[in-house]
Amino acid sequence: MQDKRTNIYLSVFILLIILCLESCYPVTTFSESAYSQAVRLKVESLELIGKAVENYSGYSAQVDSLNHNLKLAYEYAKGRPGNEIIENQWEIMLNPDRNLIGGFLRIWKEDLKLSPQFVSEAQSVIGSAFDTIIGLESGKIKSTDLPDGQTVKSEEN
Amino acid sequence: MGDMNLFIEELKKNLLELASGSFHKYSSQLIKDGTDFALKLEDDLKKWAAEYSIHEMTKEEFESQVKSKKNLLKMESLKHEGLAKTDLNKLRNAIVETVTDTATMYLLK
Repeated sequence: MQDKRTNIYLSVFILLIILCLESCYPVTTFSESAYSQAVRLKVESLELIGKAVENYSGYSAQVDSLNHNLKLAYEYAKGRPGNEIIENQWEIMLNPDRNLIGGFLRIWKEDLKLSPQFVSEAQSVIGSAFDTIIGLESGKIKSTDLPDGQTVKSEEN
Repeated sequence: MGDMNLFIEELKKNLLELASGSFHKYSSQLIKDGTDFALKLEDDLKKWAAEYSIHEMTKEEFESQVKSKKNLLKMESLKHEGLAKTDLNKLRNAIVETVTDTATMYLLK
């Protein structure tokens, strides 16, 4: 009788630990869509940055299109629960008052044409900045690695 | 082209001046962070300053390069923070699995 009661107490205690662990840290799992989106945008951005040695007016439509796609990526990141760090990274990336892709496109628009040295350096830095987003996304837990039954927050399911 | 040692000396003075205002509580940290950042960029700064001196890069482009490196450092630190969080989640999952398996084995008889 005593053993049975101890077992019940233990079961309740363990259940509480599990519930606490489940609720304390929100899980964001790896998203194939977010990963592909970031890789695609890195390639598109670096290609367009390479054109900045030429006059901006010839590429304004492409810049608008890239800006639109970058905003979509930011909104997608923002809408994912527990994804604040990547959301923050996209904010830095897109902000025209900072100096990654958002700032680069602003300077190109203002100066019309940029020096080859600056363009080449910007490709390297902005490429590395994209890699930090891609690296963080790919480092996330895959939904297949979650404990049995924990699929609620897996985004690709 | 400018002198790197002179630049670091001037930078320290300017950081000290900055720290004497609203940031006096953080003065030593501020000087350390600012100097570390400049030393980390030493090669880049020399290269960009040389390009600026022969008019291959404008002043605005030079400033933008320095700031972009600062932004990149922030992006990298966010990545490390996120990966640490993921490791914590993996540990949590391992704990949940172990607790569940052990409970199933010993309590649900």
